[in-house]
Amino acid sequence: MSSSSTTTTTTRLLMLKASDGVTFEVEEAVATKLGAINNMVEEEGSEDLICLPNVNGKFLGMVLEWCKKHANNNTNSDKGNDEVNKWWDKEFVMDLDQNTLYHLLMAADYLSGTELVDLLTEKVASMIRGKKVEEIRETFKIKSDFLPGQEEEIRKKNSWAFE
Amino acid sequence: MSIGQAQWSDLPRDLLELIADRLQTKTDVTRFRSVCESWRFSVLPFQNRIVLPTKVPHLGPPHFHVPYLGLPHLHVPYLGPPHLRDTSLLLTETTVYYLSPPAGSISSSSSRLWGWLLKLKEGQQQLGQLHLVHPLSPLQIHPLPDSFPKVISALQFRVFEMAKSYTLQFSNLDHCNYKVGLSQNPDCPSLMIVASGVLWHLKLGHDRWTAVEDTVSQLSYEDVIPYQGKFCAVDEFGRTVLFDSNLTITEIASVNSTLCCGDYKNLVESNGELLLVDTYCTRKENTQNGGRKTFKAQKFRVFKLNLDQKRWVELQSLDDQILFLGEDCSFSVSAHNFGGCKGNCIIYTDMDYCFNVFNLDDGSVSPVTLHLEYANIFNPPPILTKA
Repeated sequence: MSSSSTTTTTTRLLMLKASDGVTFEVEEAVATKLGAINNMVEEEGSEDLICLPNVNGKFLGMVLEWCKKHANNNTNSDKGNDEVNKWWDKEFVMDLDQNTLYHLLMAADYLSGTELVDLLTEKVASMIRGKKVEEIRETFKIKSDFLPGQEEEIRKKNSWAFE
Repeated sequence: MSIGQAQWSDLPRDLLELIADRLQTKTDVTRFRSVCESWRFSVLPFQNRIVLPTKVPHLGPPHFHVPYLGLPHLHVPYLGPPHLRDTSLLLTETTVYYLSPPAGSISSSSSRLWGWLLKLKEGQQQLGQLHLVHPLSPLQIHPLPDSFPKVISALQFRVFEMAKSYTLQFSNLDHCNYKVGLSQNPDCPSLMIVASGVLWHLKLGHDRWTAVEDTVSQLSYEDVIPYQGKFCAVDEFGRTVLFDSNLTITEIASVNSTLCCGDYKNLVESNGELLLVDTYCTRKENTQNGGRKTFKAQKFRVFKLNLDQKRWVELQSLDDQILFLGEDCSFSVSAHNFGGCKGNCIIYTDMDYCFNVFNLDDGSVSPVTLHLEYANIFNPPPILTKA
């Protein structure tokens, strides 16, 4: 299985292999938006197949989709590009469930996709802002592991006492 | 590697730090740290981007510096009682919080379930100790009303910071009636104030104020707010300027004849837009007050900045927004968060500190006692006031 990519014959193609064996054929210019791949390409030079044992195919596909969009939009140096990217980023993160968001963030971090990490950490922050602690735990399926004494201290820290 | 369940509590520390960096408010960072052990120990307790001094130099000599001669005596700001002129001014920060009941908490009881606003000043002595502050002035509410809870468990509510205000006090705790703006620009954190029509600037940590050189509006400034990392100030004719950290001045709106008639101008940032509120007052001699003149606001006009044309354009409607016009800071909220309230109005106080509602739809003014839904915006919900 490989992702379709429309390319001209002049651009170099890289083959990325995910942990579950799924491979993606992508233009070098797209894949090198990821710092980790950029480093590998620079270090290993001629190697066209890159194995990524820490990233599942599903999420690698999503990361590459994001890279492709941003690489395409950046090639046209038109002023509205930033707007297009912003709009597209908004769509990209809008309906992510917490499970996908988590794996995508881990993948983006592992691949050193700094801009994508920024986008995803902002999405996580937006799911936290204003919320109650219980709601945050519920959103991210986290169980409190504080000792009862610590819980009590936290409750105190989060209450407002008037003089 | 198979796709397991997300383990947010095991997220690498650098990612947790990146997320917490984006939270910005103390409330959110404190809550982030209250989720679980690993989140708590990955992130330091909230720290302001700049450390705010509690004291700043007095505006009087020798601490102020007038860069040119000819500043009329009339415009030397009120410096407080003579015996206090050698002491520092106290700088205090207050925060307007919006507390909302969490989604899905609709209970069977008929008690109010919408949000409320709370303006708080943190106590100096003990962490966590707070003072309730008048929503539209810097005055502390003391003692607390009987019905007001002595402790609020903030964990029950969603909490959003809506606005911050800064005020200066003389060492006898009287408020200086200067409008204060704080720029948190980390390269040059500074204060800018309007005192008797003159703008003064103080870089935090420096020991004297500088009067801002600007021959056009110098004596007639009326308001200053931080805006997009700069200071934005407006004069009595509506001329509006930005100052960067080097005090370089950029005019963003020129004098406007429709803005010459109002008596007082306030700048407000509302939903990311810069607004100007022009207040029209009636003056009347108050016989009960030793013949002192009192000013009563009678009408307001609201303008939005058109940056391309460098002019203020009158707004016909604030739509869903309720705008709070305060002495120390102004802000707006969306009416749908507050049960029974309609937007497109301005809540303000006259000299008596009672709230009034100005309705932009029909230009009417009415005391808030006739609109309890607006008064309720600042009242704790009944679940907290029940003893």
